[in-house]
Amino acid sequence: MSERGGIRGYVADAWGAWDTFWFTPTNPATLSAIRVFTGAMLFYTHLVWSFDLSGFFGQNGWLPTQLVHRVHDLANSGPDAPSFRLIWSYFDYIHSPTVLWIVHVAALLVFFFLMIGFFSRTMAVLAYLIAISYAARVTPGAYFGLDKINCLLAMYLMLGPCGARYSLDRIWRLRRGAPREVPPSVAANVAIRLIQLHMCIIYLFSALGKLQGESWWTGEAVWISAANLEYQFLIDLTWMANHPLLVSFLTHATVYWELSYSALVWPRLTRPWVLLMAVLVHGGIVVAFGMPTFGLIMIVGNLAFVSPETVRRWVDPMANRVALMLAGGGGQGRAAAAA
Amino acid sequence: MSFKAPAAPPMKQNRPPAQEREAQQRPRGRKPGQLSMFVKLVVSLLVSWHVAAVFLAPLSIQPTSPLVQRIAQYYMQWYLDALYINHGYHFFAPDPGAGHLIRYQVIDDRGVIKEQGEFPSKKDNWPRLLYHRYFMLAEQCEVGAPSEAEANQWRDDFLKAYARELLRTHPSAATVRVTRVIHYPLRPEDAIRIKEDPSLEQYRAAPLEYPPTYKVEAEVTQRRNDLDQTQATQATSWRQDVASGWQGGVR
Repeated sequence: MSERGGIRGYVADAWGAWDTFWFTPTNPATLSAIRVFTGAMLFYTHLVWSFDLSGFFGQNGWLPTQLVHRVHDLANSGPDAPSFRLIWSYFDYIHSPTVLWIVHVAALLVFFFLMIGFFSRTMAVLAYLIAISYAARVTPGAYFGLDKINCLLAMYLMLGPCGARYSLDRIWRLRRGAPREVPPSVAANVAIRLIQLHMCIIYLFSALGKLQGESWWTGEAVWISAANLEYQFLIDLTWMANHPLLVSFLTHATVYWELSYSALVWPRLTRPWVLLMAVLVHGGIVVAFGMPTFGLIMIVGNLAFVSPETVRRWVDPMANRVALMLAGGGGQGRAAAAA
Repeated sequence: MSFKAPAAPPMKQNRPPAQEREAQQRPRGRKPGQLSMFVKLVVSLLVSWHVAAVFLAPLSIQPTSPLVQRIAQYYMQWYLDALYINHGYHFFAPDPGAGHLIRYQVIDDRGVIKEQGEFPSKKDNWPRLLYHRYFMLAEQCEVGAPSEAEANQWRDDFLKAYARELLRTHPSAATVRVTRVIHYPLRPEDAIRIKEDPSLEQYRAAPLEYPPTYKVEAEVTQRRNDLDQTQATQATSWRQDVASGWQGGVR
């Protein structure tokens, strides 16, 4: 084979792999399940703001708008300053508590509709814009990893048919005579691929960041986190003081798992183990480090690596039961297909 | 002599089903639901840009190279900001540090302490997510500034904002004193001693005693005069807001 033919073959193979990766239609079951869980988490996250809405989102609350803007402007100084910044939040324009509450209740409705799959795609777009507005208003000040993951999942949900399954939209479509089987979708695949890549980047940089710290090398980092009383939640982990080798093992395992995630989550052989470790690590965050919401939303992000067939095997029975309740006794066939 | 019958004109009942018609109209080689090459190229460019941006955002967190900083901050910052993907994802990194608390005293015009408290507070801040939001208020006073003096100034500005918020929510207060406290985690040997001697349990949360896990980092005081008039009288609830004819501002 000539050299030119070899290069052409290589390029064709590379394009074929790229094409398969991004443009193979996939069943939207996984994306739909992520929609349900993300919608629920967005709803809960923002419901909790209601306890001190004016305090966190008022013009002069804990984080006065002017102060937050000044912090943003700080990054605009210096020789390598960004060309311009586009940090935005509609809370900058809300000056009345009444309007603040009306907008807040509307946002909660959007998140709730996203969860139940009512005009899912439209709600996904609105949910993303709303979630950014909340997060950007309290950044810096009161944001943390939960807000980042909430926003990124909402962003990718709006790219695909997130209401194709497990939704009111689906029941509605079936009543209007839509086929029982949901067609595979390229958009669903693109959305899932983007979530997968984003998760890989998150874990990679989480590990690289840890490698800059001494305690992750000396094996003490898990102890420092466990002994931090402000983080402590359901379980007091200070018993680990008697087990320094266990502390070192957990510290190293965390770093190596995060570091290898982006490589080992792709092969079928290693994927289940990587995902099991994700459930264990984030489950640990749920019970021990006082961030149940963050731990759970990271597990939802990892759901992107679960095949639609597996998702259907787990979620369809539950979805059928819910759909049966909604459709009533006469709608059993429709309800079974709603999943 | 051969005879070829003319093709029958398309009649309604002879028309192929919709799916077949769609298949006939589709360019040869494309399966149902697949995209054209042009659309694939456009989508490929967009996802390449996006994934590059997602990757470069954490790569540009300090310490970083001037090259990465320039690409990420100069050319991509607008995109990262707009989509809220401008994050480093350095969870518990580089080292999990000490916790922080905000302690406050609400003082009346006679100098009497009317109320004192702290946040985050496992007792007062419920549910847990709300607790974590207040925890973040205590944690995120630190802003990356060029010098220590500037960083301290930023921290004090945050603490003053907290003090002013407490003044607004405590109308009878004349002064609010806010303290930021560092709460160092126990050393393993201290945790073992506390476990072995239950009488030491009280020291787990005691300030500046044994073990010395608490340290006051900064303190600010704000008086009611420090609130400008508009902020001091702003409505704090929807009832006040409606009563004032929708003129009130949000605190």
